[in-house]
Amino acid sequence: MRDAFFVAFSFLAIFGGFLTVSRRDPMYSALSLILFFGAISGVMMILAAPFLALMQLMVYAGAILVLFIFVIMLLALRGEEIGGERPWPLQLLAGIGCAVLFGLIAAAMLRAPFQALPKVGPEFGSPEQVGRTMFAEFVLPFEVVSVLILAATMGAVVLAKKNLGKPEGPAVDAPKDHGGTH
Amino acid sequence: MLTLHNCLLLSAILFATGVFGVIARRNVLIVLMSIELMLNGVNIAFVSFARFYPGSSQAPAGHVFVLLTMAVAAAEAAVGLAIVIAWFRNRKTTDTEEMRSLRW
Amino acid sequence: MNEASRCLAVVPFLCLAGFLANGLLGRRLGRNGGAAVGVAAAIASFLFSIPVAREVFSTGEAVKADLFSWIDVSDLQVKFAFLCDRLSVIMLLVVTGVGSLIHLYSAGYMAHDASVPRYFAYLNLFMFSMLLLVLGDNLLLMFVGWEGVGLCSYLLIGFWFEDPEKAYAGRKAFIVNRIGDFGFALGLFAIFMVFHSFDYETIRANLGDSNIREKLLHTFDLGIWFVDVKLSLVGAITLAFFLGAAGKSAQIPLYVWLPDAMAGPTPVSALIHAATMVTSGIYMICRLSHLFVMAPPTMDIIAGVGGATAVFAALMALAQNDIKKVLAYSTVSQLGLMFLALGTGGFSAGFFHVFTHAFFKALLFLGAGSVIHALSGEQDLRRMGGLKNKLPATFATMLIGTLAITGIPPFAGFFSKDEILWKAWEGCLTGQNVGHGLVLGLLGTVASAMTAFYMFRLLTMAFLGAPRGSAEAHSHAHESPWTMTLPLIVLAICSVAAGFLNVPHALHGGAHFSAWLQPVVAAWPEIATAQHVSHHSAERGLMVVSTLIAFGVSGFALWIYLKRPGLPAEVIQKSPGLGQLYALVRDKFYIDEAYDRVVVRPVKLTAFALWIFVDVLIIDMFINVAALVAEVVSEAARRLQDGVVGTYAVWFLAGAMLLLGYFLYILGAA
Repeated sequence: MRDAFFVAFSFLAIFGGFLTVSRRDPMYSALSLILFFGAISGVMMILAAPFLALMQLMVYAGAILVLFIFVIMLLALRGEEIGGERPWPLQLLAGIGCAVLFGLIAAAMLRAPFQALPKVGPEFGSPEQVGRTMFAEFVLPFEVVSVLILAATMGAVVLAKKNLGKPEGPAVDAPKDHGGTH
Repeated sequence: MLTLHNCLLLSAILFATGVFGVIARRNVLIVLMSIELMLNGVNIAFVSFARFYPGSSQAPAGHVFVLLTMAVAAAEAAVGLAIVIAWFRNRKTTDTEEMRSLRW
Repeated sequence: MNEASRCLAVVPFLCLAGFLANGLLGRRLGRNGGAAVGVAAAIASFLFSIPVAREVFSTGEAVKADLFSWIDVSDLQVKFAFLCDRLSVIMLLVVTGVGSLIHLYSAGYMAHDASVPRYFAYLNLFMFSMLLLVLGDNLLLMFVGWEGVGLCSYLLIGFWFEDPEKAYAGRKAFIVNRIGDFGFALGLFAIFMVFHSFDYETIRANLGDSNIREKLLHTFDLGIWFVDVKLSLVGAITLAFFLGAAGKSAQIPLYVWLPDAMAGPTPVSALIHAATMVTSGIYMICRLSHLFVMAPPTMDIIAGVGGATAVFAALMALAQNDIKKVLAYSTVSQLGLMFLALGTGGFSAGFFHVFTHAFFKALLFLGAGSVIHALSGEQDLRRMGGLKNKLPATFATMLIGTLAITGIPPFAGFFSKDEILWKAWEGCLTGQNVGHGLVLGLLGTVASAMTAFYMFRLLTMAFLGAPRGSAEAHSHAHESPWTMTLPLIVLAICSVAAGFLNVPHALHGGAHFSAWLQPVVAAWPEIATAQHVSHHSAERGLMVVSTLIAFGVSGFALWIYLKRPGLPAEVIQKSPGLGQLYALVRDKFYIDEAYDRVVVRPVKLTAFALWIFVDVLIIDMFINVAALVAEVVSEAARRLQDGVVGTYAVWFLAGAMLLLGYFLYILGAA
């Protein structure tokens, strides 16, 4: 039962990830990402991390993804604003590169010795236990991350508010030295 | 089959998929989403190790790291999207190939 | 510190102060101010050395002035201290006394020159270095002075450096001296290795130590093939020092710089290249005489080289037409005689000749300078003549100088040269070492006979007979100002009187000079001195003979150049063999040319080859290739940075993959 769910969620996650990177329209990618995050949440549930599974849904699906969709809708991208695609030989090359990377990572990870699934108590991965661990052993990283988030908040506000380059003119022409292709 | 190796393979596949998205796509929003993919792949690895090596105290250190990663991911998404907005406002594009003002 | 040592500590620094004043403030001082400061510094140093000398002469003990600890590194302890003992007090007086006179003379001689302050700065720096050389209480301080006088010699020979030939002469002197200094430095290292000290007193005290004696007399077999050469350590050390002395004191094979050094102003030739600096080699050997007598082979080499130089240089002096060149070769020849004396153990005899030679050779040079000054720069003897009435004071003093160097009694040169000749002949006349003594004695006698000839040739050609130069130049000739004649007169008086300090026992004199030096120089060979008394008649005989030779040759020279001035040319014309010989001598045996072929050109060629092959081809190639690699790599790396985020991501990925692969590789290997 557990194995079947694991396999199912795994393939769902892989499928969602594949859809995310392969859709031309960012909106579709974002919607595929919901599927992906949900599947990941399921995998975490199976791996005895109920709190994380919940956080996954709340933070990723609930906050980050909503932010993405918000931005996409705010930008209301039209055809040429989405940008071009790379030619297929380059994409193929990138695919091969990623396959090699996967091979390397897998080779590294499979060096981990076989480990029978140990028994863990029902308390494992519960909010209480995670909280205890975090605030007992990892207070410093926690605080550092809080500073990071503060900085990110302020940075995001400043960046999104301030005009880069020319303050006015809705359609600024690309500078002459831009060699980009449309 | 719920084995450590399978979990790690899943993690590697998700990471590699994210990398593919980063290098093969030109839309900056999709690149950012691909980064989320990569982070999630790493999270899976953390959770798997936490599950298969709980230790005697059964304190889920890996879970803590996942939480921290989530925080970083949120921060990254927020800043990244802010940059995208600012950029789009000035240049009317989301194509990374167009983002070369810092070119030599 | 008592008064004498306080004065001693001040003496050299007065000259240094003069140098600094002239060197730094020369432009402000101007011509007259610069001369005044320079002369005042020299005279002040002479005045301050008088109390020192009085103290030394009254007590016979050395005056010391400890200034500060100069080098203090583990077992290398060198003090900056002055020592004025029986030996250096004589040098002190000669350097400051003759130096002051020459400074005074220079004030007149250089009055019309463009850069008087520079000249006096150099001259004062020379005095300072020379005083360091003679007063230093250790070999290292002597070496500092040694290098200092070499530097000043270079600066003053090339004083008129706008003339490339004069600048070249300066460089030549410097480089040839460098070779000698190399020997000196080697000797220094060896001395430190053996004695762990540079102090004269420590060295001399430790010579009695049996361990050190054994070390010094240890013999190395340097035989190659069938040539059997054995060299003791002390032999090697003394040979190294002798090389240094030969460079500074212009002995074969390093004499070539001295004749060219005449490119400098004439007072410089008088002070540096006749009276003081060139005699520092002899001073140094006297200083280390106790070391030198431990190596009889070195002593023989010194005597041989000195004798050969004396004859060789005198021969070349015979055929020179430049008044200063004649005196230069004469100086080389006289220095050779001094080394001949040293090599036969006559340290006091050689040093006495240093003393008298300083007076009469400085006198001759200054007289020559006076003549040159009067004739507005003319140096060629063939265009002089008839100056006796025009320059009476110069002529009278030059005559005294000539008589002194010729060895006519009772002038100073007679006593000093007689002493040397006696030391040279001693082995032969006492029957102890006949062959040895015969060779050295003949060399000495021939050299002094030729001295008489070339000196009277010079005197006659310059002052007697009819004027040969242009009538205009002759009518313009005038006696020099008092600043120039006064030193001449003082030096002439010294040239007459100095000899009486050392009237030999054979003439029922006191030999005060030798007795004075006896405690500080080595006695060698021991047997000869013990039997000295019984050979007075032989010594007297030698004196008579050498005096007769001097008179005869002088008269011959006078006769030729007064009555038959065309005779040498006739003889040469009649006999082509003699003509060739004359040309050979006149052209200085082509030694300069030979050195040019054998040493200078190969060195230049090697340097050129090194430049082309090592510097340009190898070293520059490495550098250029490194630069090229950097350029190519950065040109390529620049392309990587195209400003496109995607490209960066790809490279990032590639780097990550490489790292991962590398980790996997080493993990797999482990």
